[in-house]
Amino acid sequence: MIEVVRAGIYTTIQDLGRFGYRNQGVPTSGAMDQYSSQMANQIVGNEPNTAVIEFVLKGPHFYFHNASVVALCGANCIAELNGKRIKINQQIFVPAKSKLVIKSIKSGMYGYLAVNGGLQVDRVLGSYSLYPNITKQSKLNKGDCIDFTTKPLSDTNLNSSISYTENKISCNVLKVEKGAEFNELDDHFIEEIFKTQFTPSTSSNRMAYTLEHNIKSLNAHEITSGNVQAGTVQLTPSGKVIVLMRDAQTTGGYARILQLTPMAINQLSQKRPGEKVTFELLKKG
Amino acid sequence: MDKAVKIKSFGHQCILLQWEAIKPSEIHETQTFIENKYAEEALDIVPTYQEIAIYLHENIDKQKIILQLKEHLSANNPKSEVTNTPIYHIPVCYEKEMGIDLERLSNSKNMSCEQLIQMHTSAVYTVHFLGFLPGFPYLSGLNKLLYEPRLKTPRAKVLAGSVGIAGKQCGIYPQDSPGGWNIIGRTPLKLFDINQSPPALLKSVKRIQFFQINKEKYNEIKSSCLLNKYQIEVSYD
Repeated sequence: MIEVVRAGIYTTIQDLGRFGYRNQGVPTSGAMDQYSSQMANQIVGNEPNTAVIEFVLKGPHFYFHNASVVALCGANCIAELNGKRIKINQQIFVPAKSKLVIKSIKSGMYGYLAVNGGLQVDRVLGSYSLYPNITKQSKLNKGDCIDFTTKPLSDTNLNSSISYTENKISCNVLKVEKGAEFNELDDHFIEEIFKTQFTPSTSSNRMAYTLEHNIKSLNAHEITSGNVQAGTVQLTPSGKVIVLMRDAQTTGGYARILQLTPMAINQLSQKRPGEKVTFELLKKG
Repeated sequence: MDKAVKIKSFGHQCILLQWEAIKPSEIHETQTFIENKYAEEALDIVPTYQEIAIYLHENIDKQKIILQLKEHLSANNPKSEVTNTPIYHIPVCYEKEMGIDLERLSNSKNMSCEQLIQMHTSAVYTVHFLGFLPGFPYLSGLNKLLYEPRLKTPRAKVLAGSVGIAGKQCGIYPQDSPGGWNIIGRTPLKLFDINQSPPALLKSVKRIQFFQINKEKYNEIKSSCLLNKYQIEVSYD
């Protein structure tokens, strides 16, 4: 059992998402950076879709009542196990009655804690991902206790670290496809969009990242509500550029100018306010 | 009316079908066709007013399906035959404490609250799709005299069951949520319940009509909903 000793800012449980219910208005949810959540699972010998703990910007503290093998991936964090520094992106053996403390996050936004065997939490509409009004709770709170199962590691070499390509995630160039309303943009705006550096604003969260920019009089008309998904880049009549993330609603009324690739969604999720990103159109074929 | 469909890629493993002008019954017909044909390949099939998004499983060849759809949908325009779908009757309490914008709306439209309620309950509404919140229906069919723009400043909390007007649309909040729709009443029905299958009450419902209930009846229906004992009245025209 893992006990949440300090909850952090918005610590949740996530898998790769809730599918099959979008036509009932249910967001897909899922880990913000799925490259890292899957990597964490792989390191501890889990299937990619196993539920993990996701935290953001400020580290939570955990108390392990039972022994386990875990991995930390995603945001670059400074973590300690019973007061001793531990490394990210590798197997960590956690003895029973241990304190695992994420002290700080040096770079990136979202961190993942995968536990060998997986977390024993409620599966609702096919997913373990927490979401308000779908699951009983929307985030983890201090005092919450999560059971986990353990499964034998086929290769119990605790020093084996799987090659985790950090620059894959830290890349600042986001690959995109044209969005449904891309062709309605003026040519000079299209040119500007691919030259401009965008910066996530402080209001970014699991639903959407707002990107600040300095493109003068950039705007688009509202549309009749249409389909949107994680990675949809919306442009509002007032010129705001909003990239929808994992907890986004299923339909929306703003012009959809670009669509991020799955990897670009992972990459953007790790960008902090003040960091800069650019868009690059995916080459066909 | 341009019935030609545009078929576009909409990100990794997603196909977007778009029409310039299409009737809800035609969207529905196309949706049913795709649901049957691609039951194995599709993860989610999501209609909106003039679109259908098809989200495919990871290992499916998207280009192949785009080609198949082009061939099929260009040869078979959806038929706009009027089918006699059942009308589901949704109880709404229009009393002031629940219809918090009712009085303001009736004043601005120079009608009595009773007239407004009469107009709202006499129309039959088409359920276009569910979005915004789990189980939230986008409804058309509102009497033109009741059109009203969204509130300039959305409320921090609109209560579950609230029936609202935004522009020419009508909708029902399935859960407490921030929102900018003009609220004219509240239904005791649960629009979304993860313990039901399907969880969204209106998932397969195409047409609804509202009827007025008093507060006593509201509480009575609410109690029977909690026990899953309320039967929605259904009629055919």
